[in-house]
Amino acid sequence: MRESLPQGWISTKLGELVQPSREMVQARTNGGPYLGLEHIEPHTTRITGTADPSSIKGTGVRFKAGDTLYARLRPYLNKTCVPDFDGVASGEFIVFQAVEWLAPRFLMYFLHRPDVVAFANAKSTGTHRPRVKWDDFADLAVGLPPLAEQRRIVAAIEELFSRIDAGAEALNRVRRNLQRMYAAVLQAAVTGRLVPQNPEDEPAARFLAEADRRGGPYPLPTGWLWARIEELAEVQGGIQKQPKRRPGKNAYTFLRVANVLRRELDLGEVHMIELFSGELDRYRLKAGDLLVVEGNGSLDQIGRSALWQGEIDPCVHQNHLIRVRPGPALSPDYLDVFWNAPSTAAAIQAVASSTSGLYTLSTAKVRRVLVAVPPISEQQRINLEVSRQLSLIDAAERVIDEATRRARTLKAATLRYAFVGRLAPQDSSDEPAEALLDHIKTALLARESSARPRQRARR
Amino acid sequence: MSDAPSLIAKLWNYCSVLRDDGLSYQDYIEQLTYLLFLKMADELTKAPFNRPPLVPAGLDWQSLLDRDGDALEVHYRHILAELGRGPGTLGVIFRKAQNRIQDPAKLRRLVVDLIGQEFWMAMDADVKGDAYEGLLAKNAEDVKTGAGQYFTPRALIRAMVDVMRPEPGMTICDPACGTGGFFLAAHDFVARNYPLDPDQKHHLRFEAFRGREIVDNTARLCQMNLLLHGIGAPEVDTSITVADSLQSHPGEHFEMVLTNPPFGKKSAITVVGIGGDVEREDLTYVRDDFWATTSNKQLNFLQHVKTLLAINGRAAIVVPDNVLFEGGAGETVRRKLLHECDVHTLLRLPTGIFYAGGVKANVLFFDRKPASEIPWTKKLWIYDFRTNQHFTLKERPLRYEDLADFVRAYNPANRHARDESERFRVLTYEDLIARDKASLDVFWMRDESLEDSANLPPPEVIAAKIVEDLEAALSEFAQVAQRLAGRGQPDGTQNLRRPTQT
Repeated sequence: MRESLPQGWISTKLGELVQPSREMVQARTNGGPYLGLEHIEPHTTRITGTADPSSIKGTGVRFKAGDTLYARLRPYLNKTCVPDFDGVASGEFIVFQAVEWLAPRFLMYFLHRPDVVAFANAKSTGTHRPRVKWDDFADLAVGLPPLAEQRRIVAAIEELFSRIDAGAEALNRVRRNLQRMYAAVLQAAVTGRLVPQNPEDEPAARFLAEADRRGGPYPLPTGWLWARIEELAEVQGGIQKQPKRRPGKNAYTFLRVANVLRRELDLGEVHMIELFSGELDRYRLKAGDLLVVEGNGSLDQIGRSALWQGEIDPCVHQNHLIRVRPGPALSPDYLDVFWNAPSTAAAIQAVASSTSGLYTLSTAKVRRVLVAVPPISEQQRINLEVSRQLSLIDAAERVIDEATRRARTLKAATLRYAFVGRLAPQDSSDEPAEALLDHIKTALLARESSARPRQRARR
Repeated sequence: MSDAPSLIAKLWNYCSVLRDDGLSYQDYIEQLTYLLFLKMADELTKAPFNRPPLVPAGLDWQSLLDRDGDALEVHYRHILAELGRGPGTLGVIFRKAQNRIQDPAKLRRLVVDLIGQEFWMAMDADVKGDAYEGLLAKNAEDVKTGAGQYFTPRALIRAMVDVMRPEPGMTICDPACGTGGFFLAAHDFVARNYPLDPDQKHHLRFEAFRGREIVDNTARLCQMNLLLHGIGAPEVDTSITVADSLQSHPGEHFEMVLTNPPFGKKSAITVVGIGGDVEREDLTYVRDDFWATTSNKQLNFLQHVKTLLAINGRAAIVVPDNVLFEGGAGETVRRKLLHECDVHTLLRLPTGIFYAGGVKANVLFFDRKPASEIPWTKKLWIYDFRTNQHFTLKERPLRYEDLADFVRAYNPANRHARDESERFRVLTYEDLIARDKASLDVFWMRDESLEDSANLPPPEVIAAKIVEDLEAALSEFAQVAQRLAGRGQPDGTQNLRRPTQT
């Protein structure tokens, strides 16, 4: 849809407004910092650093404070900026000198527009190092506003961008806090602070062989007690993969470490393994089993676990997965919550470390892990509440992701509106853009003719 | 005569009676205000004052006492309508006044048993003042009405006044005076710290304060609040004007400005109605004495406050975060302010202290200076009272003691002799203008709540932080959305306000 230009604007081509400056100089001797592609942040117009020119061999393009720099290489990265210092830029940049008929940063935001970025990307050539040429740009249509309005447009863009950035940053903080909230919910659950205790619950001691007053890492509410996994659950290792285990007449599905992610299963690819007599009963998984990864040496993989809900039956598991089958005193969901609580994760890490510096668990180590056991009815209440809160956190995370995506679209919309004159007001007392045209023509001509003696006019 | 606690108890008791009839705190205070004024005006006509009547006969307190039942209610409405037409203090109190008490029996009880039983003019200013303020505070807590945006926490006001140190003879302006909190605190400060001769007392009572408030109802509460605290008098013309401060310069300059401009509507997602309803926030004020033209109300108030100051006048203004970091007009205003004024102190306020939720605010202190080529700001001292501070309106409200360290660090006796501390750092002018967009949004302390520490706070604390950040994000995006929607006309026209030509 073509919109008519706002009052005071003229339609022109980019090549009629600016010309690249190709003043090549020795980076080392020119003076001023060196800007390489790596110093411009994609999509943000920010300069993140500079390089010491003395370390640069070869030539670059000279620029002055206020010039607009545009990266020709990989234009989809949308690297454009206006430095506030003089220096030398890599030859991968096109340098547009500042001109009096364009407001500061007007050209930069123009090149920053998503449709201009897409245009440049479409025109770029070269598979490994796609580049766009100035000649492709020169014909790009530009609606040129009056100079005073250009300044208002830039101000409006910067006002809105700074607010969008602030909003996006707040969303990032929310995302981080959602993750912490997740951990805090689990921690509250296993310390008795998520749901109230009910004095009429049958205390946990009811179900355990020895109701001994074992101590633990933190104080427990009434009715709870500490117990080791071996008192609460059956712990069993898995089947070691050997040549004799190649699937044959008696093959069964088995779970590998790769199938167990953090708190979820990936059953996209399941393998088969050969079992011998008596083994099926011993290794068969039941719904409610907790599968714990033994470890592969690195700290952050320790204690990785997931709950088995009986997705595939019959199914067995390999030896690097430890199977924990809760008895009557422990509900599987609560075990899953407890296992993932921050204090437990820390305890497991401590137990898993060894003198060699590697981290592994074993069935013996798992058996000895201390669990804070609430009364079974309280466990059910905890499970429900954890499930509820985690679903809220999940929903919130999805909303945040969506909002972040929309924030990016908001920036695109801002630019779109800005350059069709719908962001900043028109003012009929502005000198119309047309008045700039003659000035532009003479100025560009003067530039070319003065540039000629110094360098060959190169395209 | 009642003492403070029993009076407050009486007033609140009547309030609950009327709440059952559907009256909000706001409605109640409004009606109290009308009746109080009539009673006070009546007391002035009798001994020992014996002044000429302020209120026309037949519309006065006595005419209320003479009636009962439906006749009372009808007459009350008549009084409200008539008195609202007048000028001066009478006008401010009664402009667009409406009766909200449907039951005439309850109205009569209010008249005869509550208001009629006391001698308000003779009552200690502290007693009646505190009682009224107490009602205003309760009103502010009722967040649904949005009344909270007119009520700055008193602990904050006291701290600001304690560092600004008003003096006898000074004229103090608040261009967004709300319920008059700054005036009360300044009045109190001067009365407590200086021995005043009769002229100074007169000045303090009648000439020291000049306020503007755009909302009729809030202006009347402010007027009554001042009257009850012994500032001004019912028969003397008011110092509160009902007007939009941003429209134009008032024509006089002040030695001190203390203000907390409104932060905009709580429902930040307001749809600009198709073909109708342009929100006030959309208005862009075009003033020659402003540095930048913008629709950001708080930026405009900042510019306006600077124009209100006399040369070497001093200001303390509460501003939201976006005034400190916003690009475009915001950057222009900050650069100009840093150059033309001495912007010397910035207090970053914690969240959870204002009645409007999710507000991230600051207090900016600056002095206006004569024109100069050399920038006036040399050093900006920033006090971070936000990082790792947790306040809530109910469980952990802000008290004056919480700000005591700030007052001490500010060192009002000599603000050029300050020391850095964990929460108090100084930046130079060069540091500030070198920052991207000259943003004053500076933090250096580590936010413990974002650390991945072994000691996690309980989930509800994290949830509260999440809500805060979501509200901040929402506020920013809503403003942007509103800006984009407001400029939706193809011809780019929108509301430009220029000062009215004379």
